[in-house]
Amino acid sequence: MKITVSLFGEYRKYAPEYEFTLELPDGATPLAIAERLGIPRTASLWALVDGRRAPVDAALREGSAVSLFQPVGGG
Amino acid sequence: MAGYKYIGKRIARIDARPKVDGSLKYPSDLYEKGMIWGRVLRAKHPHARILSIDTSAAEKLQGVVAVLTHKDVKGINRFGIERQDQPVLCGDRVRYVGDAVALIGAETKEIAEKALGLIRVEYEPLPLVDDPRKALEKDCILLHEKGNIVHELHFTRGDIGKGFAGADVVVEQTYRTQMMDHAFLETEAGLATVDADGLLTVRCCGQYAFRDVTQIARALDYPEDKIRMVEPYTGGAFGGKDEVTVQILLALLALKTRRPSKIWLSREEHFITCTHRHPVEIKIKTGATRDGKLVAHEVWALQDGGAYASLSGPVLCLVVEHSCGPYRIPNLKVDAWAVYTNNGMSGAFRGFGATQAHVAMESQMDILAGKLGLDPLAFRAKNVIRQGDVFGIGQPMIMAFGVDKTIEKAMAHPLWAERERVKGEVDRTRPEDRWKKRGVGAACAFQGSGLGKGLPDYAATTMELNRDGTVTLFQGTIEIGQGSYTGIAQVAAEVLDLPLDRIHFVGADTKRTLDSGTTTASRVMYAAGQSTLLAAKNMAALIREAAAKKLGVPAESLELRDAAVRTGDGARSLSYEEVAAAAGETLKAEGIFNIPVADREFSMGLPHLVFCSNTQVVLVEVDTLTGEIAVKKAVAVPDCGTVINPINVEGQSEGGIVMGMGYALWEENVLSKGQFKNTGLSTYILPSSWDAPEIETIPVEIPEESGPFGARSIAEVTTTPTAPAILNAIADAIGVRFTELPVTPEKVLAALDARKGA
Repeated sequence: MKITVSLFGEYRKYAPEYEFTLELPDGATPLAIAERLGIPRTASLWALVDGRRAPVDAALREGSAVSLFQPVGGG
Repeated sequence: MAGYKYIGKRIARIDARPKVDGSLKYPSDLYEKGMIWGRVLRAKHPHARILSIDTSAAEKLQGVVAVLTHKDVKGINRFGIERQDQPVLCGDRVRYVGDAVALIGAETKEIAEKALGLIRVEYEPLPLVDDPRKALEKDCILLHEKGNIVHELHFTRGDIGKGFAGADVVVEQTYRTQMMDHAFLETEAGLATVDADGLLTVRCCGQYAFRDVTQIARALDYPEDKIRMVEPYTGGAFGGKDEVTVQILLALLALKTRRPSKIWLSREEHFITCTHRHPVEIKIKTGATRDGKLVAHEVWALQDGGAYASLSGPVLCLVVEHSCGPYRIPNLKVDAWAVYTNNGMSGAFRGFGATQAHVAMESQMDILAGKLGLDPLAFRAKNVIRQGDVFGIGQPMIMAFGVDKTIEKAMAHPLWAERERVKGEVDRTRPEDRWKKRGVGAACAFQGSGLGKGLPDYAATTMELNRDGTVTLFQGTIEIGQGSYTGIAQVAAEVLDLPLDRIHFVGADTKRTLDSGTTTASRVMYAAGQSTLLAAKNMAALIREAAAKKLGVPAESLELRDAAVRTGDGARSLSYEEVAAAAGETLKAEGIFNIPVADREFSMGLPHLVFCSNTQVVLVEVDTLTGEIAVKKAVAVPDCGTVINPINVEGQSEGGIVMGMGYALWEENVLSKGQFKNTGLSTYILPSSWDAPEIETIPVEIPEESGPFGARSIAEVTTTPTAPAILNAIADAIGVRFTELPVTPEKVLAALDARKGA
């Protein structure tokens, strides 16, 4: 399945573009994307799936948009 | 507002009654049977190596349940929003006087206090870094392994050399802003419990419950799914509870003792430990042509972050983003650093860097206007960015942007348009007014809404239709006193045409509400309001569908009116209670909203697309005999899009102006050699209702299509222009330009004496 991936903050360095598409097997998760890109699994790894905060082990669906980031924002 | 039943109406806060009658419990109000009190041993040294910690005497004290040190922390024992560099409990080194070294749990707070005095810590003092310039020197001791620079930003646009070459007037000035305390009413507090299944529940004041879960899990190595944060109501924050305060300590104590554990910081402890407003030194050089066009602008800024990073980096981004003001300047150069020192801690604070930047830039604009012989607000209007322009650091201003409209409206107000008359109204025959001189000053400001490009910025709302026809609205942001729960409920009420007393509000609870982002960054009414609008629309669709089945009519023929769903001709209807019964199962709806960001990356910072703005005009009276300054009147013209609730907007505006007065005239955390000198409200001088002037708030409402009913947020921009407006008014009154805050009576008298001497 095709998944759109966006990387933010510290994770930006793990891919040449901040937004790109990945072909992934069914049942893939945000964590699997992180692993494929070499992003370490820590409690700081957060994911948004289709704009909604989701567990990093949530199963993705065809066409999902996944954002990987750390909760570093404030204001 | 015409056409709306709930939007734009002066509706009393939904939490007003329980707050007034005391039935609403703030975190500091929480007590539980079998509870112990936690107290924290603070470093007291601004920079030292820990040689030993002896807790044996404290452990023997009757009534002491636990004495915890760094050895008791299983996880990384560090926290920090952006960078985890702050120890939960220090083991080898302390970097500011508020660092936590040990944690006591005792049967009473008196025993806990006594036990603190029994802990023996041996320190070896280390060289003090109490000057941010010193922190940048090559031979300075490193406060952290990676160096003393937390963050630095460098930005150029156009050709700065050519820009200044083409300028007819150049103004160069250095501005210094001070450390400031949030001084919220409720000091940091909370209560933690652990149940038989190991579920840790922390009820605490904060600004982002979901991130607090991650900070606890990371620091203590405790599973995130076994942590529940409940933070719906907080007794004031202003950014000061964005970073973790007592959450991890509460969790640690409860997990170690398995007893309900309460921590409630004293006011003195708050002053020493909280993440204050950053002191910033800003040098600015600005050039303009004779006809009043800005052509070049160079900024150098140095921000004192204190001992740990917290949000120093993002604050610096906003210093830079706002240091050019909301103006079109073709040639820019900005260099900025945030550094570590041993001067307490700094972090998020209403305005978040924009406040400091505006002090400098809006003073600069008045000085330039004076040299050019232009009306200060007309000079701003000539240069202000309008919707469609490209903004300072390069982002296109494609969203609603109303700074120009706020300037126009402020210029038309009698306080500005007839200021010479207003200034002449002092009755010098009265002895007490004999020495008084009046001045009118103005400043305009803008403030990004949301986190800016570079971070996802989302909000989520869920709602359920209950069997009695009421709706429960679940929202994960926090009511920190700003009135957002009422505004959000008004949005749902408008869509569902349901009275507010039929909407039950469930606030931040990580096991009941969805993650809706931080309660910061002037984002809640805009982002959480819009996710609520979407959820309510989804709920309305579900209600129509359920009713359509029951009534045997097409869903699209039904409308929601007066807490019921009705056919177009009104002949047939079902109350929401009847809809709930007809639906069989509970109707549940969800709304997700992501704040729009620029569609490309920028070289630096956290550039925003959505902004709020505000122009303020103030009248000050300077007593040239005593040096005292009084703000007699203030006019605020904010643009926050559609006003959802005028009472809330006026409340924010009035509070923001009074906070800005404190910043301009009185408030300062005074430090000497890393030690706080004023740690109580008798020595840290806050403005009170005695000082509050007559305040008039006249919003211009430029609707933002992406916001709920055209709303954005207001929050921070209410305070951003106040201090520079006061500085400009003082200059107008006595002809002295102050460039360092706060402008105390002593400084005024010294400046007047110096001028006399000259």
